[in-house]
Amino acid sequence: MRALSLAVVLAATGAAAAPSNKTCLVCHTAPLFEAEAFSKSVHAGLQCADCHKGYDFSVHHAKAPKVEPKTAAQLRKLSGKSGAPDALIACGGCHESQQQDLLQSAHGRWLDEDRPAAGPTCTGCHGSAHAIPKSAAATALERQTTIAARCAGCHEDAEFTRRARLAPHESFSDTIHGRLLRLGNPRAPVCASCHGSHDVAPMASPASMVVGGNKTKTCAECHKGATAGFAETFTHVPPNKITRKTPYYTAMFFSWMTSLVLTGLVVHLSFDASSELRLRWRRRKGNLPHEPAAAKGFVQRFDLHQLIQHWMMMFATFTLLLSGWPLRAASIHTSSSLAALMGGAKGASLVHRAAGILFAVAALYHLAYLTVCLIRRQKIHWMIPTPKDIRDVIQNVGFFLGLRKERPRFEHFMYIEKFEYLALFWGTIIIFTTGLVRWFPAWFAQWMSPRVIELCQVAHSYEAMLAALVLLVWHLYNVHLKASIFPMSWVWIDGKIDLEALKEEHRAEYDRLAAQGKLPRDEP
Amino acid sequence: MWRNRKIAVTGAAVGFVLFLVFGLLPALLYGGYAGLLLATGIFGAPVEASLLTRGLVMFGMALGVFGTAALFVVTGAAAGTALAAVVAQWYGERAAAPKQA
Repeated sequence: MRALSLAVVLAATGAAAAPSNKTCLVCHTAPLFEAEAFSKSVHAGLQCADCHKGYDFSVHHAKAPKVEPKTAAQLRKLSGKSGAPDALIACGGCHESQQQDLLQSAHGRWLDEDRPAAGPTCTGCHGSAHAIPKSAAATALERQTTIAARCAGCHEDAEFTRRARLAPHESFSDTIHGRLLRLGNPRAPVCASCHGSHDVAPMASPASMVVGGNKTKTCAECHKGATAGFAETFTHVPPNKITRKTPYYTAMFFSWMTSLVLTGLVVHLSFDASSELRLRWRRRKGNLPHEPAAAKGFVQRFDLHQLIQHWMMMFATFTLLLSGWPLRAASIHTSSSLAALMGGAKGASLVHRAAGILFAVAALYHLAYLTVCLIRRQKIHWMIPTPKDIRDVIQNVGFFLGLRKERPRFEHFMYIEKFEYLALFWGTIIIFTTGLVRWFPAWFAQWMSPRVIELCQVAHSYEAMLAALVLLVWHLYNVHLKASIFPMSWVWIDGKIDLEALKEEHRAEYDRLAAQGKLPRDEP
Repeated sequence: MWRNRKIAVTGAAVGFVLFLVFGLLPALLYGGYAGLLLATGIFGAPVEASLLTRGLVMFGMALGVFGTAALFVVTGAAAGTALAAVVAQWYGERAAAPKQA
């Protein structure tokens, strides 16, 4: 009502000598006023004087209209943010309900109260009134991205949040919603989706859309069946020791584990690579003791079932990595391109889930295979570590350092393969269970503690990162890229290992098969 | 015989060149991001630009480059092997066809 009264007063004052747009544009040209942008804007049909009221062209000074003291105080505050404060008030002439909501919201308090910092104005969020695009001119994604960027202009500005005494270090762009938006999902919620727009209430107010029961209702608009426990798991506050202990300590555990494990693997790999090169050099110089060559031929190392399990696991893991990492690292510019290859953020998420199901099927196939082998009493080369594996580690490191002349004699599966298998076993359980929780968070939140949901949300991506790095660095080096095998082992294709490679890498098994008469013996 | 080391090496070389063209920059970026995640998990956010943090980021970048290069090289070797097998099969069929006639 107050805004309407002001609008009427200003209209009455200006009606007597309102200039036409042509008149104004004689002087008001670029960069002060961009006529082309205005002609395409949503306000293109308006006259300058519809908003910039009170100007008399003959005098060319705005006649300050008589206003109420409260409105005058608002104009004084607005004049600190705009050269045309009365134009901002005039927004209410057409957008009365929005202005009313704004004045009563958290964003409008600064106009009526003494606040530590000036708040937003209409143009601060919507952009210059001369250039607000028509809604049809922008896509849904562009509109959502613009909203998020405008809110971030204040709420992710450390200096402003400190001055205005807003919650510090809160970042929308690092949350799952922010990352989905970065990947180009037009349905990703932005600030206004959850907090409201013109009527955004302070967090301390019971009217806020993100407090208490209201937050559950807000979450349930997209996440059907959301409970209070589910709503509790989502916040902009980064993990910390005080208010978000579970994700904080989960991230710390996985970060330490990843760093230490990968450091150990890289050290092992470096020693292995240098000893391989040293061996090749000695072989070339003829400094190695004479070893009779193995006979020509192959041994079946993996059967068809094992090969299929490996192919399924390999394809699923590769697809999971390609479809999941862009979402985690959405701030990297190539992520949106990668996601676009899969049909955008939505397509990437479908691909990721399909690959997750394939991954689980491969794991179940493997468990079924082991069970059938046990029932049929077929020979299984177990992956359980034995005391020999510990001796092998010590002796192998001694060989790397030149303290031993010969490598340890490895059996069918050496400690490296056992480590990879057990890491995959543990990783499969962690990634699959946490992935299910991330897929159906609202359902799990109905009977699971919010702390467990938060733990799963953090553990999934950290475990995926560890698994990916171990596979790409450790597994690919040991199986394919060692100097003695480079560029690729063919065992994963047809399951056969040639006798020379068997003798080189699994000498204990080679000797055992030879003693059993299943291989040609070494020539004297 | 499709197990041909020369063809696999050629495929690996092609894979490495493709890595240099398409994969090097993303590998550095994603690896560095992984290092930053590790630093955030260990030291808490916001991380400071300390020696250890920088070390973790560099470690992540190195692992990212090595891992991505490994993937490209092995995929190239596998693709080369597959192509060689297909070509060998095709030529083998063509060589056998006139004999059958």
